[in-house]
Amino acid sequence: MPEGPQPVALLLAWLVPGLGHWYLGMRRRAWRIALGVLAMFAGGLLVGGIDAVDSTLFYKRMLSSSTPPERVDGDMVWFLGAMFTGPVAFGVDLAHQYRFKVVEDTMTAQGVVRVRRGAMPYEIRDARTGKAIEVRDKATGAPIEFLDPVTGVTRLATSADRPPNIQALGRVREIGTLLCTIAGMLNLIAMIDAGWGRRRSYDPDRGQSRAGGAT
Amino acid sequence: MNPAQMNTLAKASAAASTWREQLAGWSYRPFIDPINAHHWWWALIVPLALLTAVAYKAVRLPTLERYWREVALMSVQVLLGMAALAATLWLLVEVFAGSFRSS
Repeated sequence: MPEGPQPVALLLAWLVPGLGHWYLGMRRRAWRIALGVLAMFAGGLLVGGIDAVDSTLFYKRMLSSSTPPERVDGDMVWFLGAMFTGPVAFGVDLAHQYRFKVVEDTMTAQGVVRVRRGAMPYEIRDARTGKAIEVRDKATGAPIEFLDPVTGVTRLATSADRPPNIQALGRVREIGTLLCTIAGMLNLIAMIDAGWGRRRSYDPDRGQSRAGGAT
Repeated sequence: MNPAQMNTLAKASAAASTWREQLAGWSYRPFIDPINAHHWWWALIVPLALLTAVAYKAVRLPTLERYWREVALMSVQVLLGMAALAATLWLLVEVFAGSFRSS
């Protein structure tokens, strides 16, 4: 195994937590890194729901300047940490943005701006257009009549008519977001270790007897 | 509180109660909805500390012979550190800041 920078291991470590160390022959370390990072990321989603991963699509605006004006509500700063968990973070984020959030066109000083936001508890999401449809009274939560976008029939809302996800609030939101972000930051440490670690040739985990210090 | 304010408060309370019933009727969808941990959120610090130690020690330890022992030790250190921080902040806000307020 050559010493020095390992760009392939670095990339693999980002693609799947632990894969960089697996590639370098450190299988036991790889399993433990994967367990810690992925369990923490999954734990963040279990606690805070899909709302725990929310990029505001900042990378889309960075990659393309020709996209129409769009404002996305969310927690971009936290995603800067969570994105190091790998493609799984981007996959969850894209599902959140395009399958769970609702869109509405709002008039601003700059013209019409498309706003992408979380659905309120009194709204459902039209899967075809992504727009919100009010199915409950905002103040009381009592069901109201609405035009069903699937059947085209006006009917009274039932308990099955619920928002695509419930937005987390308070401490639960904080802990859920924190778990996903720390998962990404831990994988960043693992990526650096895989890409530039000095452990390589003497690591007993690679089946060699010579012991050495940590990186 | 005048009668109008009491009436508004009663209406808001009734509406909140209806909303609570509505939300309680919706089942939890794992990975989509948040859990109802508003009364025991602090307990979630335990898996946070444990999983942090699992990944961090896998990277940092020179050998993995004493891995789980090191993980347990770091988890306890993190939890004790957080408890100490919480106690310090509580003292700062409730005792020291409180003494300024009363004087």
